[in-house]
Amino acid sequence: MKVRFFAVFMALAAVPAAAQTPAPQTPATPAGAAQAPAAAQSAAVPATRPFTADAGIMFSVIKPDKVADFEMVMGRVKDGLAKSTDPQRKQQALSWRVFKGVEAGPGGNIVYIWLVDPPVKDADYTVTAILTEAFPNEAQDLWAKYTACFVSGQTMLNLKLTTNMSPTAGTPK
Amino acid sequence: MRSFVTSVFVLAAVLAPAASFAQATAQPPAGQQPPAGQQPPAGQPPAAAQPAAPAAPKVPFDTPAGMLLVQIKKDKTADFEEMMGKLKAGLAKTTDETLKKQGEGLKVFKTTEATGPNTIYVVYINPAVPNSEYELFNMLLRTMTPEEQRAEGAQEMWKRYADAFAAGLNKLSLVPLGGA
Repeated sequence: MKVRFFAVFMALAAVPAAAQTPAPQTPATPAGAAQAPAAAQSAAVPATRPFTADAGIMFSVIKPDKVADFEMVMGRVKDGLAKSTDPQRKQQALSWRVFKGVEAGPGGNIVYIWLVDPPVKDADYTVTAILTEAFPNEAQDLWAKYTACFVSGQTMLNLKLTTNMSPTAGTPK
Repeated sequence: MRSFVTSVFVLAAVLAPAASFAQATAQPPAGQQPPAGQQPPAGQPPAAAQPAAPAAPKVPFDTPAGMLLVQIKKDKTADFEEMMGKLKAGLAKTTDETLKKQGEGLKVFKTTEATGPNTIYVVYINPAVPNSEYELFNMLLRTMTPEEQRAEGAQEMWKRYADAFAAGLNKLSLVPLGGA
């Protein structure tokens, strides 16, 4: 009853558009930063990226030679959440974990996973928004590095808890 | 700043070959073969003759955390959730310390988005217990007493649970970056 990883991602391919997210979005242009071309500004306008269920997961496929850049940007996101004075941002940091998949894909591509458990209600998990808030002068460069990391877009899934096996956990609602 | 929107299909294609070594099995206990519609794919061996307490785990995690992506037939989600409920009940009463530790870090989630012909469940394991078996049928079997395993209806139960799976487990071994 073995199957390939492919099967799951083929199944994910049928996820409706709402679950398919553009990977990195254009950050708000920091004050003093060079203006992006008009055409680019109209593309990939960041929508908010909230998780709306008991938990959320995001899959990102990263080029093997960009792993360090991706992890650096994730580190800056962590720094940004930590330095934020917004209580919602601080709350987000408490339940947002980033994992690196050990099993490499074709060409050595690496799968990273965000696991948000539980999500902060109505909070925006858009990376560029967090970076722009925290590091307005760096956001543009960080965004450029971030976008260059991706083999493809990200896959976002909302998750409903059905069973928590811990004996101390109650029955999910 | 080019548009970066891509479809999940692209992601699927990119990951396609990733998994030959990320495969895992989902097999009912020996002697409790799945029905005809749930036989192993051609070219793959049938369930082992004696699954209990294998020498090496079929689905181990040697990383701090792990994840199993499980495809369940849309009309069989109740059976899978019943199986997980039975596993939870079994873990609550087991005296096997390893199983107890495994249960403490194991959550089962159902995707809320439509995911094609099957429903995808995410089994999230954190922390993972090293060198332990996370094959779900095996875990459930180990929580059952010999009497429960021989009980009337047990064979039908295994068949029903096996029939819920549209495919085997897909395993991801995960190393935390420290959180964002």
